[in-house]
Amino acid sequence: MGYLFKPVRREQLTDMLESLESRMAQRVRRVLVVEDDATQAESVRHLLASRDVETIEAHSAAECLEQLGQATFDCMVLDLNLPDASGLDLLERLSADESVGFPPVIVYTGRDLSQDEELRLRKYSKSIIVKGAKSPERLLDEVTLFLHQVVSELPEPQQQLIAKSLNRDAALEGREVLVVEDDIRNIYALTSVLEPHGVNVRIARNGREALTALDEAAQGRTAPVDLVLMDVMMPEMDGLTATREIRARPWGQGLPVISLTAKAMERDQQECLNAGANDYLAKPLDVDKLLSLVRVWMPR
Amino acid sequence: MDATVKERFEAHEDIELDLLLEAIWRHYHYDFRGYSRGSLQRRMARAQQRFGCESLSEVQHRILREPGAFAALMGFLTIQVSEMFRDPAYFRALRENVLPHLRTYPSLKVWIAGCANGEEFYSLAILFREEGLEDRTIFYCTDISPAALESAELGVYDSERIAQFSQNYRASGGRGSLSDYYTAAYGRAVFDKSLRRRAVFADHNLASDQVFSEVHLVSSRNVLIYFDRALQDRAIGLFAESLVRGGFLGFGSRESLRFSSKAECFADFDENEKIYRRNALPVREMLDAG
Repeated sequence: MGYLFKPVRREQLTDMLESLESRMAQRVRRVLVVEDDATQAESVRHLLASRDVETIEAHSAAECLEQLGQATFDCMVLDLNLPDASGLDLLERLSADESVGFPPVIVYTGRDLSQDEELRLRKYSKSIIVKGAKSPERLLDEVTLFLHQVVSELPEPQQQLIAKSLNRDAALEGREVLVVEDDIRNIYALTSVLEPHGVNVRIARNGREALTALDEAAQGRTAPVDLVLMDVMMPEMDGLTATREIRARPWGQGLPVISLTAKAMERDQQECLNAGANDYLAKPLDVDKLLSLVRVWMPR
Repeated sequence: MDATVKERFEAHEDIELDLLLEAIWRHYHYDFRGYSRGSLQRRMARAQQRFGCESLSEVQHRILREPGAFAALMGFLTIQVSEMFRDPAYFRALRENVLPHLRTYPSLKVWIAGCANGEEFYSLAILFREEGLEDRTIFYCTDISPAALESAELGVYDSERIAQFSQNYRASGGRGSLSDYYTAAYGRAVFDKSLRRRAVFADHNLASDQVFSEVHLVSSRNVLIYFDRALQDRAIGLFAESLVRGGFLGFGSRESLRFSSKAECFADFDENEKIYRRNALPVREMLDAG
């Protein structure tokens, strides 16, 4: 800190306050590096080390939980292979446990991930980095970005909590929506709009996966699906084909299907309806429109 | 011909071209109004000659009444002459400098915007296979011409073009022989269909459609040269919206970001090969719905 003798001149006071302010602004950012391999942890530390960044190491899931329970971190770099838990388990635990902080996570993995693993990880982490020649560069870049983000955006859990209590919606509460979409960014956009309204969102990555999921639901092996949001442009099987297939199934007549299309022309949208969709929504997705369409088509 | 007469003559050609583009837009919903004037004039003149028409008004008369004539005209307007591994240095730069960055993503999406007859797609599919990234990649091949998409999906090229393709492939740093990827017979070469395993072919119009996916690489070569400034900016805005931060944009050798209003969304990555990198800046204006 610092001290001044009274009487204090106005300029002196301003000077002191200013220096205090700049010191607060330059506060040291804290990064938690969760990595079981000491050499690798050391190299990440080296990479990130700078005057205003402090890195703290945790070598297991238990150590990580302990650190997060004790102090606040600005960002966390997580290796998926830990001796006492998988990285994904750890993330699930962190997200459920209110007693520890949950800073933004960068997943830093030495192995390739399956599509499914990536999808599950993306729920907790926007940036997943596979180690390789250029990965240190990207890691530094992503950490830097997180550390300089505006803090006012941070209390997301609270925001969500408020949104949840306000938006609970009788038409949507507890309903099952199948989102058929291959773009992870859109999957999370849709999920984050629907889930706060009490919707249970299920995901299929292409038309074929959607049919499998719907067949299973029709056979009673999973909960029945109330409504389908169907992207048009997808690998394996596109949304138009999948919609036609749905309509051809014995259980598929009454199921509401809403197409999501990046195409702007009337005849493209007509094509969705011809394939059997009940309605369509043009991308980029408009949240209000999406919610009204889902409300309109949701069976009572 | 004195100057005033010549001026008047050019003016009526201009009017006819505008009306024809308007007719195409209103009847068929293809928007060529933002395409660059010079290239449209050349292409339309060629079409007019082939149709045996006296004027563009006559062309307009026909295409409004005969969908077949319109399909033929589309061929003239969208024809793209390309080669596999065209400008080998571009593909070498992708292989040596861009792919090591892409390798840090657990899954990848590549958008070939304006894929024409597929030459660029097959080049990239081969490149990604050789670099071990094929299995984690989805390729979106888009074009406005259904005929081009069909031909891209077939992957059949005249045998006489293959020598040039092979030369390019070697110059681009290819790890094997191009013949590993095709079977040639009856004057044609058919590319291995397993190369299309990870591809989605879809018709998408840069002039009116929207972003459909988050991608890591956009390769759009010699497509924007046919657009005027406003349409170029729209397309580049779509690319910027679509790319992840740190994602790459590759252009053709005669194209550049330099004069685009969206240039601020990108940094130079390889100036010679026209490869750019998406930065963290948000795309400023909302895209209009076209």
